[in-house]
Amino acid sequence: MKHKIKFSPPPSPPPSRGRVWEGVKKGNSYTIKVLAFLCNWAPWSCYTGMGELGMPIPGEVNVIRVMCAGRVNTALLLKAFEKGADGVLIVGCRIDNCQNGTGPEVALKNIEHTYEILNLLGLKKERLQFKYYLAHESEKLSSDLHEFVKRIEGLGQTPISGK
Amino acid sequence: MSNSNKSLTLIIKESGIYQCLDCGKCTGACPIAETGKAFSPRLAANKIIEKGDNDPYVQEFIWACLTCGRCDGRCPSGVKFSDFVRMLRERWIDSGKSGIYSHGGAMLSLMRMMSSPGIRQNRLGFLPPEIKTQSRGKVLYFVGCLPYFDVFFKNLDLHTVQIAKDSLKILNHCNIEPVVLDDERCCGHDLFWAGDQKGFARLAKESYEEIKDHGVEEIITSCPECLYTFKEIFPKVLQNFDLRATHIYESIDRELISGNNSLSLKPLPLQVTFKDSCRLSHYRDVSQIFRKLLGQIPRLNIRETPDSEIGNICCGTSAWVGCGEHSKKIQIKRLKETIAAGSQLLVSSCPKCLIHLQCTMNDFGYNERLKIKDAVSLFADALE
Repeated sequence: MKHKIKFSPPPSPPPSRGRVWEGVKKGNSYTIKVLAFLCNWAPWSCYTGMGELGMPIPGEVNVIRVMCAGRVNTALLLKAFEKGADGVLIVGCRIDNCQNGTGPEVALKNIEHTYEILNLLGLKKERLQFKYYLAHESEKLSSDLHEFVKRIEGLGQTPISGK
Repeated sequence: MSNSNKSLTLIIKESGIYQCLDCGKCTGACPIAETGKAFSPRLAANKIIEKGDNDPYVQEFIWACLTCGRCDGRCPSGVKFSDFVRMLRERWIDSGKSGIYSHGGAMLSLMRMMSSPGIRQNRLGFLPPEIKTQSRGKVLYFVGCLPYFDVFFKNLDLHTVQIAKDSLKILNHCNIEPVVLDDERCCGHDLFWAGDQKGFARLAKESYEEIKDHGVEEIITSCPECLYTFKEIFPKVLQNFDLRATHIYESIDRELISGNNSLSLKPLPLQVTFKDSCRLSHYRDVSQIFRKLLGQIPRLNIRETPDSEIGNICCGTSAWVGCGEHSKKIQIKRLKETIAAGSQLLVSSCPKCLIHLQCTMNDFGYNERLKIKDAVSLFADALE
């Protein structure tokens, strides 16, 4: 039997770095802003996979592609909150699947460190989360992004004015 | 650099660069130049006059300066060099470029976050129950960034919050029950010196309103940078600023040493060396009181080094701008000097000096030979 090759539609182009962070307007209510740091390896293939499978990306989410989840240090996380992000997500590879060895571990360590600072500032730790995926888990990434946006909508606007 | 607020001509005029006599005392006084970096304030000033601030030498210069003010003190024609650098940084930031910050700019991010009016902090978790404070009153103890330092520099295992605890303990001993604010905002010293003038103005306004809401008239602080900011910078930025700032050494001196309060100090058989801070060397009276206070402790042997008091050198980094090879060299020089003087304890007056010197002590293995402590904590140890 001949093996049939099923062509998938061409992947949607990844959003450029300069994409305007518009969010979704719902009447006059506040628009939630979520920042997701995506590791270049498994999470990024999940993300392009979302485009291939035609899954919608929540408009509230702005994605920054980094070479490793471990690159996102405390200073970058604080900078995201300083600029007015209501929620920040670090998306990395599974702990045994890291290209660089210790990326997810470092990311978790950085998040724990940032939690303590957010606690002093009076920001809820639910606003910051780490997620990990294997390269084929596009559906999981999609549902988690939507869930995270919903959760941040529940928490409401950040008290930081982001000027 | 089209949208910058200040023109170079104005910056040069305000800092008095044209009064420079080319004597070179600034380079001779500069702690960075002393460590061997090709760093000349005169050359940078000449280049700025000639070519503007796009020159690579100038750009490196702007972010390498410690703004410690040692050259300001030495200059025979009174050129305000640290102000010159600060205004150039401001111009740099206003043109939309990012500065060169240590720790990825995290500490400056924290300060900008604190300038949001809606923020409700949770920073007084460290307060022990036996310390008496008030929610409203005339005297405020300004904690500063200490709780944040302890969390951010957790790896150094340096409990800077102990300075606040000891300060409050001493103030209670002096029968002062100060106000401590749960929503206290940073003084903004570092934003100001890192060139973020707008961020500083926003923070200063919020901070002032927060303090005024609690009926405060006098601010007592244990941090030299907070003292300097409240004394020198706040009145320039806020027209209606009417708060008095005092260093805790002055309060201790007023209440315990010069006053009629009974005072018994435990003997501490130690040899110590002082590390003055850059901002406190602006106030010679305060650094004199600092020496007088610790001089009261029995059996405490004080050994001064050449880099003390007016000859004080910076701890290597200020305003969270740039930390590198030359910062480390300055710190190692200071530590070696202290060990050569035969002291077991380096007594600092600034929490940032503690952080920077402790970092070098951990990295280069000085921990067995030397300990470092804040002066307030040392005094609290001696106080029975």
